[in-house]
Amino acid sequence: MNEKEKEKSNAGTLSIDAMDAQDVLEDAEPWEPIETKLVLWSFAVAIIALIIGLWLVPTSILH
Amino acid sequence: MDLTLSYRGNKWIAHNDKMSFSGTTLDDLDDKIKTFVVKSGLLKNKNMYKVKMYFNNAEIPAWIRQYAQHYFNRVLIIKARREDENDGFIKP
Amino acid sequence: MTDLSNRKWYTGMLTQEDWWAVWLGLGFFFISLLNIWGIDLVGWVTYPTKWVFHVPEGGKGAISHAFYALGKKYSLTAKGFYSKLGWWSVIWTYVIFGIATTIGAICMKWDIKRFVAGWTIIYFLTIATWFVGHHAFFAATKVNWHKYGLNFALSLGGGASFILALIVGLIIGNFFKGFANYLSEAAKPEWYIKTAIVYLGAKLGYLPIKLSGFSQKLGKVATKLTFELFIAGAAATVVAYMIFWPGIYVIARKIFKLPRKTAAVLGSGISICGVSAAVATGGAVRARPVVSIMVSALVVVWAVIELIILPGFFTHIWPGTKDPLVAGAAMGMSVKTDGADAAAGELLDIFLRNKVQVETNGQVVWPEGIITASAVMTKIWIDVFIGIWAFILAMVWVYKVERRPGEYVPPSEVWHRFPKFVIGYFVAWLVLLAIFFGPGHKGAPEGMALLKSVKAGVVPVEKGMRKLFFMLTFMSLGIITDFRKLKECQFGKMVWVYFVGLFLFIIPVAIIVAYIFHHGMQLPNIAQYVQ
Repeated sequence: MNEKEKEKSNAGTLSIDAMDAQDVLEDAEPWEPIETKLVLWSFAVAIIALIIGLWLVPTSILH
Repeated sequence: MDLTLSYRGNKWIAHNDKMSFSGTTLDDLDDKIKTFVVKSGLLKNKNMYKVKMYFNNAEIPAWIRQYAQHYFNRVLIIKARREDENDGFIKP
Repeated sequence: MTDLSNRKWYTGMLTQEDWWAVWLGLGFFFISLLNIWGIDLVGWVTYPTKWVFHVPEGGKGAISHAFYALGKKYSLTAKGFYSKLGWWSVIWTYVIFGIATTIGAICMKWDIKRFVAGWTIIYFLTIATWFVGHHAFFAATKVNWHKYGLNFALSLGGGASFILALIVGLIIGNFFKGFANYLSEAAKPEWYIKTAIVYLGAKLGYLPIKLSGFSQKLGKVATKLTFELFIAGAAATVVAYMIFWPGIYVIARKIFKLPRKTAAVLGSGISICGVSAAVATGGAVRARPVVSIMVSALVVVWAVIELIILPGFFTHIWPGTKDPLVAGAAMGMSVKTDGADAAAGELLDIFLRNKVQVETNGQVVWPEGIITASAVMTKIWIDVFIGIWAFILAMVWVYKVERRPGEYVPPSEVWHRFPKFVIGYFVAWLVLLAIFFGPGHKGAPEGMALLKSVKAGVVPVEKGMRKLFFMLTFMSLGIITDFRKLKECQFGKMVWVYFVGLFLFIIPVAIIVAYIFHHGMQLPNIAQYVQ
């Protein structure tokens, strides 16, 4: 492998310049119920972790 | 079967020393691999066949690798289709 | 093309920066412990001290003493040798770390010529800015002005050097692009900061040892405080992340109408651990790599903007010296990338300690490094958590969102995404804790002889090596940061999602969550022992 090739392979083949990135920002799919579920579950986990944390962590404002 | 996965020229490519598959989406890629596995008889006398795909991080720009050294690995499980099943897989 | 895929649990041990941070960090840490047997092999580490061009009579600050080997001050067995090194310690440090990092670079198959050249330039630029930043006009605190013959100084402490290193790096990165590209092989802020974080683990373990040197009670206070930071950091991180991610996801999807995968990757990238999260989430949702790469390019620039703004904001506006650990923890949850966060935490540490000294006229002095540790603790937890979150997200995505038939998410993904430098951080911390609680007798008089020999080794690591790698991080961060990236039109919407998400959602939530878990935590006052 010559120096140039070596450099190229080390740099990785993917770069923003080498790709058309526009479609990454366009054509949003319609919102689906599974996304609502994912978001609500995340918030629910946060609330549960908050309650457990408030109770267990000795430095929380509850103590 | 172990394959190295990469993304080049708007295609997902899975390859090893002996073979190479490509598809514009992972679904496309999977279909081609499934077809090959079934046609080449790799499923013979087996209930399922595992294809492991490891993403090659050398594809990720070098400056990003210091932050994250792993993109993803995936496993494709190809099951032998019984006569009474219609699970979308290709019949051997 | 080289194959850098992760196939086995041990893959990457010699080929990834993450592992090399562990080897560099723990390697020198364990060498430092040879001091227990009277062998001091780390006292050569260079360290700056404040200087002035004209030393007043009876004062201090000679240029000839501007750099010294830490062994001169702390070595128990080789003080004579290290005292003679003076400025030569700069060369000793260059050669020893040059060799160590070059071995890493060889194993990682980097371009060695460019690495060595880049390392040399970055190292000496770093030393130069470290030197300039320690001119007493920048660094001397008010109580010491007279010793340097000054009537006024900026009182920035070591912070001036960090800021200067960042400015020099940014000038190179933004105005000398060719030169920055040339240096890029050695401009590895994330590698340097991960190594520094391993040394920070040694600092955490050393805190009880250091404070028990003042009084046994203070040693206990320090131990308790570090454990509390550990637990509070974990709770705050989980709560914050599980609010951040869905929040940004909804903002990106509903307000900015971005596609699902882009929103998912942005959610992680903006939320906490920036590039590593963007890559992990991109992989989890099977996004084309360009999505993660775009978000990563944004993250590194925004992280430096936060590094410039937040330490000053948290010091002078809120929460200030009233709640220093709320500020530290909030920093850890707000600033993306380990490098920018630890750097911002270090600046905050210096600013807040200076401020409290000025506010109380020297009646309150806080030990160095605890505020930095609080900023790094939340970041370390999130680095660990992202692997688990990415695994869960991958299952949701593959099994529920895209429902791809036959695909299975292997649990080994969690390990492959696990930040390995964290192992070094905890090992260094726990080894020192074990020494403190075991043969060190919790700082009781019968353990002090051993603890003093440990101190002789650990100080060059937790002070000298850590600061040097922080300096290298500031310099390298500047070199790889190109603000013009934000102007690139293809980022368009993403820049705005980032701006809105970060300043109107992430930072306020981070402050609230940090407050809930860290409010009221007090730093020990060591004024009576250090004056």
